[in-house]
Amino acid sequence: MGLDIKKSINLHNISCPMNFVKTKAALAELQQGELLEVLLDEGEAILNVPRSLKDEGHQVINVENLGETFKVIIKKG
Amino acid sequence: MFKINQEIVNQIFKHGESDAPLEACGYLAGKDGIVTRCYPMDNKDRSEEHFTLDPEEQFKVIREANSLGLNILAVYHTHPATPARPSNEDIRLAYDPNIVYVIASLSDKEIKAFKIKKGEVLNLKIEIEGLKICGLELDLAAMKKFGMIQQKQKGFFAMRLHTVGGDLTVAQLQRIADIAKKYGEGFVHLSTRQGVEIHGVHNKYLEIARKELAEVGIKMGACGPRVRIVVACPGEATCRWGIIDTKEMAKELDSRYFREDTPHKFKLSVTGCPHNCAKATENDIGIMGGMLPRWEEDKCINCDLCLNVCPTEAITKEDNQYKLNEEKCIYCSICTSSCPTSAWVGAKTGYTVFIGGTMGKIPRLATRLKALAEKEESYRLVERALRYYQENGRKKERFGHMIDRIGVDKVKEEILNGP
Ligand code: SF4
Ligand code: SF4
Ligand code: SF4
Repeated sequence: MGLDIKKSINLHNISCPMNFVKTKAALAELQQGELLEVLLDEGEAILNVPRSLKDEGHQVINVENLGETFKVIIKKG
Repeated sequence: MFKINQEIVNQIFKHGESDAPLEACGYLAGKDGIVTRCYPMDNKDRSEEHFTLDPEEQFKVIREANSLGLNILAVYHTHPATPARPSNEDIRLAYDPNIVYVIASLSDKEIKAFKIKKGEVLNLKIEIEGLKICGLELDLAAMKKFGMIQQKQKGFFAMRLHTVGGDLTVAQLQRIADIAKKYGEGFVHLSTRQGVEIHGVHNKYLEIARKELAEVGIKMGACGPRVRIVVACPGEATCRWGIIDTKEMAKELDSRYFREDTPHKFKLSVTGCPHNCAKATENDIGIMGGMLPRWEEDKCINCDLCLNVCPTEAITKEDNQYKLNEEKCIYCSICTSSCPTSAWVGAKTGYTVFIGGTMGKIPRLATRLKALAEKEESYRLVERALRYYQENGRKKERFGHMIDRIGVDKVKEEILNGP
């Protein structure tokens, strides 16, 4: 997509709420407006993590379905 | 006139059946002419046609009754195969003109009382009264109506309490614990439908336990063919998915219908959203909060999250246009609450009404009567559905099975648009 991804983490097989905690920790290292790429599982993870990020003011800008996982790009809010 | 309690009558028949084909016999004791206790005793004769009490046992029972302030009011015996009237043998052997002879015929399922004076038989009018619970004279079937359920242990009851949506205050919980300790067996049982039961309460404590529970606002529950306690999930009050106020609706339904008689048991549930935690589709009537989404193009950033979280693939994408397939949508609000830019918005929220769900012996998932009704409309439909079942349901036929017998389309049509 030609996006400038600052950091990438793989949260495959990391369950709730640890996946959200790790996502937040990774976002903490970024500046506002920078992008984080996260690999999230189907099911609870793709349902809960983006919604919790929304509550905290971050924005999901793209979701790509890879089968059992999703590649999610998040812009730090 | 001879007054006897239903519980005692049951005990006499039970004794008779366990000793049949021999005659069973015993004493009935009580106070002020009312029998309160049954003492099953041994028939020394071991005969199918006559009986003799064992003098030693007689003495023991009389002493025990006297120690409780009771007098022996009657001698009972059973006739396993003949009617409830004194045989020649009974008349010949009657020794006390003041005592009442109670005869229970197992073959005729009938109980009668007599006095026998010098060979002459005097028929007494017998009045069977229920236990005195809730200020009423009740029999066991009627007690079930008030959530007092006889256990297999003779004389002991499970007290099923009334809750709405499974909510109890701390004071209520403390009182329940207190009662379970004092009159029960020191534990409570939680039912599968958010009910609380206190087990092992002897019938002599039922009324006092009931009163002590009532002091903190706990009513008795219900059992048998009637509207049971209303189940609800926490809904909008605490749950982030909650679309409707489940507690308010559960309370309203409870106040309108709780304990109303129905052909068979009748269960209501209110669930806050299509996650269906309160299992609206497994109840005779279920109400489910729901939200119909609408896509607003100008807000959308084409992230595709909605496509990937919709549980039913109701959202499709064509040329950066996101479309809703209403046929597939279950109104779950996952898209509206997930969309990072709130491009999916709630176009309409409402109350989806389900009818005819049941688990139990013959499970059946509910039929959707109406999607996203207005609140008042959903109350109206509940009312009509319940009345329809009361009019058309057969005994021992759950609502859903009635619907299948009559036909889903016909029932839906008549509830929705009938007179
Ligand atoms: S049914 Fe919906 S509102 Fe109710 S508890 Fe479950 S998720 Fe929450
Ligand atoms: S989740 Fe929202 S922003 Fe993302 S594609 Fe769907 S409607 Fe557009
Ligand atoms: S409300 Fe639920 S089922 Fe309907 S489109 Fe949104 S996510 Fe899909």
